[in-house]
Amino acid sequence: MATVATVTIAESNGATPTITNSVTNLNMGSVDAVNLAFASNPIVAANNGFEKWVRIYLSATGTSNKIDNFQIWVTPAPSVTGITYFGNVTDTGPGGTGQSFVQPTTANSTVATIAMPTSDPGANNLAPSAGLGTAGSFSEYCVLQVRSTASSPPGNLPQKTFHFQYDEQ
Amino acid sequence: MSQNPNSITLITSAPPNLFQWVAEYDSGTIYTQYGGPNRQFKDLTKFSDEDRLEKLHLIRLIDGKENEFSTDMRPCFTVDLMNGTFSINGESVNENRPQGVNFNGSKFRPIYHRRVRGGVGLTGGRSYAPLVKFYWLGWQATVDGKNYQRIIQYDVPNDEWLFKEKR
Repeated sequence: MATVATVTIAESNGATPTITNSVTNLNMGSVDAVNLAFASNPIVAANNGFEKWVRIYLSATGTSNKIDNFQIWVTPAPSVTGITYFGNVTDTGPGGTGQSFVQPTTANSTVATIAMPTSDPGANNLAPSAGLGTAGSFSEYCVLQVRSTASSPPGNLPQKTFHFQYDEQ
Repeated sequence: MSQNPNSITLITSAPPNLFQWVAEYDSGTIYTQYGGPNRQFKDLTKFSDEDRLEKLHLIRLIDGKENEFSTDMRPCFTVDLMNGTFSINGESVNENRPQGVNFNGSKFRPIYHRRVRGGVGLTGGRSYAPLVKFYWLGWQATVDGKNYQRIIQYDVPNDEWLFKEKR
């Protein structure tokens, strides 16, 4: 039976990197690993979580010509003292163009340097702007990092969702 | 500092489709999205000029299953690419053509796409499988070097439709 496009979020980890084409969560923690069980990998206050290098992955095209107009954002907006979510995309774009993979770090990211959009950006903000039309292809990298300060309180972080949106033709 | 342990597993799969597109040619040929393997929208342009794409329909699926197209069926949304008119559930609707622009002899090119949104839990947040937010069906035409577009936008969550236009 013909189907529509299958799209997932892929994550890259390690030095090589190891690519997981379909993640079940983007939980951030103190290790560079996919689908983190964060309770086992907490981030100590005044430290950063490991960067998350993620991409939109077109697993299968189905009956579609292509997918494009990628938009990503994180909700709700940060609300905890000393906690900031950084990324490499804004509410205009497209971001991530030409960004090559670099092994994730807990140092202040040199790629994720701007606050992530916290609402639907309303326009394409992740490259490539031409979209993807071949099964097995990826968008450019969206890099995320959560940073804390010494004033960050202990306990669970507020729950957040990484939203991804595309147009399918 | 840690994250909420009650994360939700993301279900990764193709989002359910509410409509299938159906292309109707002036020869009587019917070409449907689910009528065979490897059907793609770009295939609509591969037919010869002698067999022109006449109408493009969005047919609502029933319980996620494909409907076979028949002339007795009243498609949900239809764009007539011979004259640029629209109908919804078999009834004509006014697409508000710009005044003073002569579309006679213009070639109306089909427009179809849909918008999909998904979410992955971050810091233990909510994940949700990709869902369709909007469908768009319409045409674009070039008159005196200017591109005109008329598109029906169907808002899936709110079950509403409206016209969107360029020029």
